[in-house]
Amino acid sequence: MTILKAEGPHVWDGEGRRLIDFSSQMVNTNIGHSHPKVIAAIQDQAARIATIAPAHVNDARSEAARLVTDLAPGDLNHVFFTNGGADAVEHAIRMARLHTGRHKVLSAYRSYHGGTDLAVNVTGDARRFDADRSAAGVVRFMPPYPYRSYFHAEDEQQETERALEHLEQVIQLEGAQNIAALILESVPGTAGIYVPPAGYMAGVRELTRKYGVMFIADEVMVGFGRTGEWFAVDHWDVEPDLMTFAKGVNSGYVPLGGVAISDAVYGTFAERVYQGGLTYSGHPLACAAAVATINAMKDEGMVDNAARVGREVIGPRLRDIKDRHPSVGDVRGLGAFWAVELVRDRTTKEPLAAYGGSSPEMNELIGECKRLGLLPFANYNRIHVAPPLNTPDEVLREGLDILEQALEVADRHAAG
Amino acid sequence: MTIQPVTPDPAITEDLIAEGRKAFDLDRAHVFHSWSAQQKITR
Repeated sequence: MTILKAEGPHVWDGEGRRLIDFSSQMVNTNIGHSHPKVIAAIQDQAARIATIAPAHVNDARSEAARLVTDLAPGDLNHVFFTNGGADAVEHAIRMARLHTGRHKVLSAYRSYHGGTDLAVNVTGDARRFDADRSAAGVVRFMPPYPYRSYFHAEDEQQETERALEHLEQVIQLEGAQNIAALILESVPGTAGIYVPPAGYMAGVRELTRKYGVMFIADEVMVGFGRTGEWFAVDHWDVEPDLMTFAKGVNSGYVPLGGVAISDAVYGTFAERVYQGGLTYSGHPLACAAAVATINAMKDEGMVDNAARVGREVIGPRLRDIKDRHPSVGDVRGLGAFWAVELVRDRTTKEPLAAYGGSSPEMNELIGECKRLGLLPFANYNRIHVAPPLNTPDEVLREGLDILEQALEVADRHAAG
Repeated sequence: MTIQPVTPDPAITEDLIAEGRKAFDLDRAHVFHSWSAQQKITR
């Protein structure tokens, strides 16, 4: 699709049609398109210092680091800036390995951590298959997924208990002394928006502490307000050892990612060189955009708004939609981050597209959304509702109306 | 002719220099650098 114009919560396609952006592109334009304060900050920075080597101090990077560490949980007081989320994951794991002297990494099935070599190897969904290699030292575990429980749980409490019991068994059977890190998306994103059941994240934190495993929270997609807290781990008061971020840190206006680092991990490198340079680490244009984005989010109350629309607009409407449409098997989410899971049969839960692929029915549904004026985020058998955090309520409602009408296409392929 | 050490550019104001010092302090407090041990980084 060609995009001719992008402004606020809207994009205009190659034929000049205006669509509501429920994708936030790659779930990164958290403040919407063309925010004037961020555009001005990038222009101003470009006129002063457009680029500089990472060894040199620049005020945009210093201020961005101050803002990020002020917001980050616990003692994540230091930031290593990267070009995006995937290389943030690579560096977080490298730091954990050097800090612990261990090699293995635990990650969850039904996760996505990026497209570079190690990042795609810790990924737990089908997008890793073409690059999968066992030498990466990655061991995967089953995540909680109450709608299709791997643990035959009958409620969320059981799901949490059994998922944590399974995780502890994996740690023990793999040998904790060999495990450097556990990496987990705080709310798994593209892989399906699986909001962890109550107690799970705290349990993961407890287990990783018990066995001396670094807990890396991957906040690339959910960081910076997406779920209605600055970071999704804040919902559960969890303090990771390392935290990756990207996307929402500057709404994607200029590529930027990073690793927020705890005092303990930082201490490992107090007297030891960290090998891992990036020409564009802390790029001034990207960091100026981050400073302006974070300040705009604060000034305009965007994080609180994301929480409110999840509670009052998106969540209630999606639950109504589920009640009315037989093709909707499950809806779940937080803040401005929701999944609509589509099935052919609610009883068997047969997905409308097979795991790892698409289907003519899903393509028909996506096409209908676009035809009616909605740009959705779609993956496998799911439509994700992930609009900019400052999308006006009336635009959200218009988008949800479109989604509901488009679902009539999916309903024709669903039993009941 | 002997080349003399470089002197401050009069176009660079004291305010700008002060901002740079603040940026340096923030950098040392919060920015993690590669290719250097963190406590061996100097101006």
